[in-house]
Parts: sequence; C-alpha cells; structure tokens
Amino acid sequence: MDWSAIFGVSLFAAGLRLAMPTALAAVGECFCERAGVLNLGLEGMMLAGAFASFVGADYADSAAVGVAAGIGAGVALGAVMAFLSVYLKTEQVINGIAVVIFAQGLTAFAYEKLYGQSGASPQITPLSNVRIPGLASIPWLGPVLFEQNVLFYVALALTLGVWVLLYRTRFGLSVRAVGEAPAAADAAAVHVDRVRWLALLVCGGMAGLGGAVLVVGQLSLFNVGITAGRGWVAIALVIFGRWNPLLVLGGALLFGLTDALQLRIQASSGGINASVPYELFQALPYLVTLAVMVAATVRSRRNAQPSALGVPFTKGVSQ
Amino acid sequence: MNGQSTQDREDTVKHSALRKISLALVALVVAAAASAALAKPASHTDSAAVQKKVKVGLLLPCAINDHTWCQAAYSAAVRLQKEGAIDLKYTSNAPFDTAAVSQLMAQYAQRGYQLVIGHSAWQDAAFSAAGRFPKTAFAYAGGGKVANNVATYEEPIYQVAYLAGILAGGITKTGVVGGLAGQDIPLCHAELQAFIRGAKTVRSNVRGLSAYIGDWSDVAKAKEAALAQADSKADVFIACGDGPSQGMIQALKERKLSGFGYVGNQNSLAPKNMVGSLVYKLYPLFKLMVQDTAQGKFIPAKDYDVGLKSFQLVLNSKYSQAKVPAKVMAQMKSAQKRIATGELKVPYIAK
Amino acid sequence: MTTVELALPHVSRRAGQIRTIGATLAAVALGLAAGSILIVIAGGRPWSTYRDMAGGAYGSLFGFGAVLVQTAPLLVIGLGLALAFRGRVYNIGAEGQFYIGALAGGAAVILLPLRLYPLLIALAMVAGIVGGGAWGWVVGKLRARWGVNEVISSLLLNYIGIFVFSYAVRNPLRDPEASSLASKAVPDGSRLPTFPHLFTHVGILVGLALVPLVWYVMDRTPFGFRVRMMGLNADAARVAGVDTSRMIVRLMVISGGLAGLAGIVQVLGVQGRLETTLSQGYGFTAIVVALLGRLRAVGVLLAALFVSGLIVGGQAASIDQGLPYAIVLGIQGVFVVFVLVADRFARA
Repeated sequence: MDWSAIFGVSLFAAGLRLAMPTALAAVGECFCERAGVLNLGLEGMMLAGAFASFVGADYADSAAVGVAAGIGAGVALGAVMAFLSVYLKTEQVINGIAVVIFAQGLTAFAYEKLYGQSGASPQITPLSNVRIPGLASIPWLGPVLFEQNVLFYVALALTLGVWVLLYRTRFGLSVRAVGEAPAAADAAAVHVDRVRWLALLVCGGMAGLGGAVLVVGQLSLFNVGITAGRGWVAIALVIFGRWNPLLVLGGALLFGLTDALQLRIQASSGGINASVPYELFQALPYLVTLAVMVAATVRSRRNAQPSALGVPFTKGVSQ
Repeated sequence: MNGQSTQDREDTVKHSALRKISLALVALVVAAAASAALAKPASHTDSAAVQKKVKVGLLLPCAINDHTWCQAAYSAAVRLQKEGAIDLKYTSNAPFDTAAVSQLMAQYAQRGYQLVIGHSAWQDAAFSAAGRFPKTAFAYAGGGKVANNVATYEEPIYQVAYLAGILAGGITKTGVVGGLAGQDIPLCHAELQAFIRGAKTVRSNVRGLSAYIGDWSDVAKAKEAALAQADSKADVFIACGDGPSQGMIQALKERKLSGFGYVGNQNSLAPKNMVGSLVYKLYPLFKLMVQDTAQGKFIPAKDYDVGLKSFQLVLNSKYSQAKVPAKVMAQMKSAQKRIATGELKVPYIAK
Repeated sequence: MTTVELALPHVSRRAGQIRTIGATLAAVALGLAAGSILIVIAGGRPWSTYRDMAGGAYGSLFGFGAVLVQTAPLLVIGLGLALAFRGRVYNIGAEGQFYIGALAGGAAVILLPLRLYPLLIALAMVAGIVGGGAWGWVVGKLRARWGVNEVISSLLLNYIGIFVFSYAVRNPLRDPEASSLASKAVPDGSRLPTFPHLFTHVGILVGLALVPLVWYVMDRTPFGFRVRMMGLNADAARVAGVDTSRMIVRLMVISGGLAGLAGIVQVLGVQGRLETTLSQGYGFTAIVVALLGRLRAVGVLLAALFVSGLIVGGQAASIDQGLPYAIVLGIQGVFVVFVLVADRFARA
C-alpha cells in the first residue's frame, strides 16, 4: 500500500470537497435546531437546491444565477417546513419526511418534464476555481486551502457567519432562547414563532446552497440521485457536533475525510483483490459518524440538545 | 368519568370503532365499484390477425437522454420503430424494486404487447410476470437464467474493454490504469479485468486500480474515487455504470487525463480527454428478439449474444492521435479481427 | 385534548373520529386536486388519468392482485411503525430492518438443509422477525440507555444495514451464475404459493392477520395503553409508573421485527432470492402509510391499499395516457403534504 499516495495533500483537498455540500446543510440545520425545530427535510432541500441551481444555470447561462436559484429553492422548502411545523404545529418528524418525499417526487417529475425528452443531456458552465496567488504556493496548506472553488470560501464564510450570528448577536440570543426556553423567551417579548420561521428559512437556504455547490460548484450535471443521502448525514452531524456550528463543520470535515480516505485505500490497494470487503469501506463514514455521535451523546449526559427541540410552542400552554 | 359506567363507555367505544370501520369499508367499496364502473377496459390485441408490427414495451430504469445505459436501449428501439418493425411504448425512470417491475411488465403484457423488454438485470421480475403471460415474450438485460418465454441479452462489454485496454497500454505514461464501478457485479468485474489484461499485452508491468463506489448515481463520489486513483498515478481510465462514468469524466477534465466512455457515446462530454467510448449496440440484439417474436420463434427462449457485434469501440476523432502510438492502434485493430473470428478469446473473469 | 374532550369523552370521541375520517377524505381530495395540476403540466387530462388509475388499480382482478402485492410489505411495516410512532418512538430505520430481516430469513432458507417446507418457511419468518428486531433493538437501546436520538441512529443504521446485506449477498450467499449481485435462489418449495386468479402471494394474509392483532394490542391491552400514554405525554407517563426506557426498546424491537418480517415475506413471495431490488424505499413509504392511516391498524390497512393503488394505477395510467412514470412520485409527494395539513385541521 502506497501510504504517501493515501495520506498526501490531495486527501485533505478531496475531503474538503466531499465535505462542503454536507457541511453547509449541517450548519444550517444546526441553526434551526438551536431554535427548537427539528428539520428532517434537509435531504429534500438539498435536492431541490441542486435541481434548481442546475435549471437556473442552464436557462440563464450563468453559474451565479444557478446558485441563487438553488438558495431560493431551499428557502422555499424551508418555508413549507415552517408552515407545517411552526404555523400548523404538526409533528415535526413527520413534516420533515413529508418534505423529503415531496421534494423527491416533484424533482423527479420536473426533471423528466424539462429534460426528459430532449436528445442531448444539458451541460452547464460551472463556477471556476479560484487560486489565491501567493498563498496557494504555501507547500501543503496552499493547494488544500487556497486553490478551491469560490463556493468553498463562501461556505467557510457562512459557517463563521452562523457562529457569529448565534453567539455574538442579539438575534442569535433570541434563537438560542427560543430553543431552550421558549416560554421564558416569549415572556421577554421575543416572538417565538417568527424567530423559528427565520431560522428555518436560513436552514433551507443553506441546504439549497449545499445542493447548488454540488451541482454548479463541483459536477456541472444533475441526476435525481445526486445528493445520495447527504442531507441525512448532515442531520446526524448536528448531534455529533453538539449543536455548535464550528464542531458541526468539523464533523462534516471528518466525514468527508473518512470518505476520501476509504476511496484512496481502495485505489491504492488494488480494489479487486482486496481482502477486506469493499462494503466495509463504503460503510466506514457512516460507522464513524454513528460511533462518534453515540460517544458524544453518552459523554455529555447533561446534554447540549436544545431543550425545546421538536416541541411546538403555543402561547399560554406550559411546555 | 362523568357518571357513565365502564360498560357504557366500552360499548360506546366499540360502537364508534365499529362505525368507523364500517364507514371506511363502505367508502372503499363504493370507490372501487365506481371506478370499476367507470374504468376503461384494458385493450387486448386481436391475436387472430397477423401482426405486421411487433408491439414492444420497453422498461428503462433511467432517462432516455443519459448518454449511456438507457439512451443505448432507447435509440436502438427508436431505430426499429422508424424502420416500421415495431410499435414502441416505453417507460423511463421505472422503479427498481422487483414487485413494481414485475407488475409493470405484466401491465404491458396484459395490454397485448408481444415483447416486453426490461432493460436492467430484472431476472426475477421477468420470470414473475412471464409466469402469468406464457404467450408473451419477455427479455431482461445482462445474461442469466432463460426458460420458456423469458430470454436475456448479453452485454459482453469485457471484449471491447480488452481492446480499450490495448490502447490504454500504449497511452499510459505511468503504467497505472484506473477503473471505477458502482458495485462488484460480474459484468463490471469482467470489464475492468479485461481492460487491465489488454493493457498488459502492450506493457507487461501495467498496474490496474479499481474502486467500487457503492452507488450507481453518486457522481461526486465517483469523481473523488477517480481523483484518488489519479493521485495513485493512474492516467487512463475506464468505468462501469452511469454515475461512475460521469464522475470519471469530470475527473478526466480536471486532471487532463484519458479515459473511455461507458455504453453510450460519451466522447462529446470531454472531447480532449476521451480516447473513445465502449458503445453498446443494442440494435442487433433487439432486432433478433423482434424477429423471433414476429415469427413465433421466441419460445423456447434463448440467451441472445452477438458477441463483438453488440459493442463498438467508437474512437474520438478529437483525441490527440499523437498520444496513441500507431503500433498500438494496429495491434488493437488486429486483436479486434481476431476476436471477431474467434481466434482470440478474451478471458471472462467474473469474480 | 381539549377541555370539551375531557368533559364529555364519548361525544367528543365520536365527533373526533368523524372529524378524523372527514379530514382524511378531505386530504385525499385536496391531494388529488393538486395532483391534477401536475397531470396538466405533464400534458395529460386529469379526469381520464384518475379514471385510468382507479380502473387500473381496483377495476379488475388483475389490478387488484397487483395492489395486494404492493400492499403486503407496506402494510406489515406500516403496522409496526404505527405502533412505534404512537409512542413517539420515531423509527426511520425500517428500510434497514427490512433488509436485515430479509437477510436473516433468506439465509435460513438457503442454508438450512430442511425439506419440510412449511416448517422451513415458518423458521424463516421467525428468523426475519429476529433479524429485523435485533437491528431495531440497537436503536432502541441507544435511545433508552444513553438518550441517543433514534431518528438519526436508525437512519445511519439504514445505510449500514444495506451494506451488510450487500456484502452477504456478494460473498457467502452469492449465486455464481447470476449476472447481478444476487444470492442463490431459495428452494422452490419454500416459495409462497399464490392465489389462483389474483397472482398475489399468500404473504398478504400475514399482513391481514396482523391488522386485528395490532388493533387489539394498541386498543385493548395494558401495553397498548402505556404506548398511547407515552405518545401523549412521556413525562406524565413516567410519573404514572410507565417504564419508558423499556417501552422504547420494546417498540423498536417490535417495529423492527415487523419490518424484518415484511422483508422475508418479500423474499419468499416475490423475489425468490436475496437482491437489493427487494425494496425501493418501502421503509419510507410505510411512514407515509402509517401517517395516512392515522397510526390506527385499520387505517394503516386502508392507507396501504390506497398508496399501492396509486402506484399500480400510476403504472397503468402512465402506459395508457403516455405520461412519464415520475408523475406517480410527484403525486405521492403532494399527497403527503396535504394529509399533514388536514391532520392539523382534524384536531382544530
């Protein structure tokens, strides 16, 4: 086994690439869960964002329009989720699954309608990579951090932005209060439902952006299975990261790195003749996430989970 | 609770439960009766009349413009339709689960379609539907069990992968070639192995890498797998599957490497990087099945295999000829002739 | 529960049930209306499409037989989920439990050198229940003991379950002749017989038998009462002496076991061997079925029949009307959302 090929610089670059879409969705989910809403519709929002970004980039011949469309689609589904969970106050777990089924169904239908009959499969122009001069020449760190797609830097900035928003602004304080003790927040004149609405819109937008990164930023094509369960993993990562955006980002990177690692091990050990079944490699990221999630939950018994997570807030009724 | 006895409450609960159930059953019966009354009767072919055109139902698990698996079947079927040989109806993005596919095939058969083709490894579904319609011809892709009215058609991509491998042996500068597949199915295994063996005939110390993505449509992961192999020095690639081939193509463009397209003509997707595509020519296979159906010779069913005629290595004219040594090209062409005559037998390694 | 419901239980319960049925029917109507918009966009005609769908699904023995085949797994999994969801234990891992159950049962049938086929089938079903139940047990234990969110752990175990299944099919149980990743076929004698005119395998009877059983457990046993209490208010239930930890584990084992049973029934009734084409999202569709069925046993049966009708009818309509098959997925998608809206107004 060629260890230098496995653990080289490109492992980290690949890990970052694989992690980015999931990380965006996970940080968004972290934000809305902090506000007390469990959004299981993330996979649907990512898919919708991926599809919308593809259509937008194709019709307007512009990657930027695609990204905007992706974010828009995510926000729209976030609004649907908010309507169900915050306005109607129905069971959040079910709402999330419903949003996923809704998004998968409509996307399959729309893709078939728009592109299913044409002879050629569409191609879009992706966002180009940005190479920061000078910094990119730093050995090792350079290619990993400073020679990435534009959306990579946007994603990093957004994650930091969410952290700042959550911990350093008044709005963030409201969000956290609404997730921990909504009755108290309500008494302090915070409009609980409005905060939750906004949190869901942010979450949806970030998930949509994650989908857009996948399509416009990385692959420049679309198929109905393109998100491949990343939204679900993102939800697990929020628990893994104990509802702290920076730790959640770290978790996403860990997952991406593990995935990149298992691919590299397969690549360098010859694959066909490997004595370890490749399903073990494929399962590795999920096993690692599950293990660390369990460990994180077990260790912090007094938990980091927002106390009002999943519970709709009704004025006047004790929670 | 309210002066009601336990017995009263139980009776009430029982009554309302019964009432609910009966209401629901009534509703269901009414709905079923109404729909039965209003439903269009399913059409049946007049089997007495001689059918000039064979009615063919085609099930595709993907989209007709995917540049690979489904497009290959669709274009072959459309060609037969244009020639006036068949009346075609197709379902794209069909479900994968056996129960649904079996029902869908049965639906076609029930409407009088004479040949139902399931373009995927839907052996169990085909047999299940075929048991109900013994006079209808069923076919599924990839090879496997045949009996009575269920046939299969082969995908001997490994033979043309061997030819691609010869070219790869001449193109590779590093001596390492890469291969990607969705799962380790015999088809893909044989394809990747043949590719490596072909390369070894040109350069005996070629090293072959392979990766199994685990998913047939995760393009991003496939791209990363190809990049991982590129980091392990692979510079010529082959793929098996829709997602794997698309991911491979993305990686080729990024790293300026070379590769071969899978099943469809994917040369236009990366004009500078594609050496050629292993194009699946389903037309001869479908034509045979249609002819057999028309002449009543379908049953007992066969394993349709036209060998190298079902695959063509379509070279990409835009690929730099300088990269392929003339000697290697000649070797490939000679091997192609020898496979066609049977003189050269490409080893089929399924595991 | 509103104050009215507390004061006059029998009146409000009947009114509540009527409201629930009414709301469900309204949801169905709204869903169909929304679906017609999709049909129009796809270039079809709503009324004739729906008529084709209804006729294709329920208008003939052919169609109804197909509906029953689709119903079998959705019903069995849905019943288990209804029970678990009633207790607020959200088992999202039914897909993985289905595959593990199929694997356990299928391995039993393939490997055991038993020729007394009824016994072999029974053993296989037990193995399926045990396999699925064990897979569910992991999730339950993680939640009961350490508070690990069962939604996520069951989700991750879905993937891991499918990987385990794929490995087993690819290696120990593999059929060397098959062109796809499939196991050896189960012995012919262990295949479930089919009804003569319906072409439906007898596995549907398993589901039908479970309906009154699950109803009885949910509505008539102390266990069911505890489950419902937990669902309404876990804290109050705990105070009232319900061992919520044990209940959580039990519910995960039961729902996992039923999903596993559905898996082995699918192997013996439909597929005849182990392959990943055994299911396509049945575990998730069953969640929709359980929801549509209002988490009640009879409701789950009706919902499973309805959703299966949608699938089979959709196939028929897509062939007859020339609509893309994706329309079925689209309609299913809008349906779910409308049912949720109606659900809310049922409780108004």
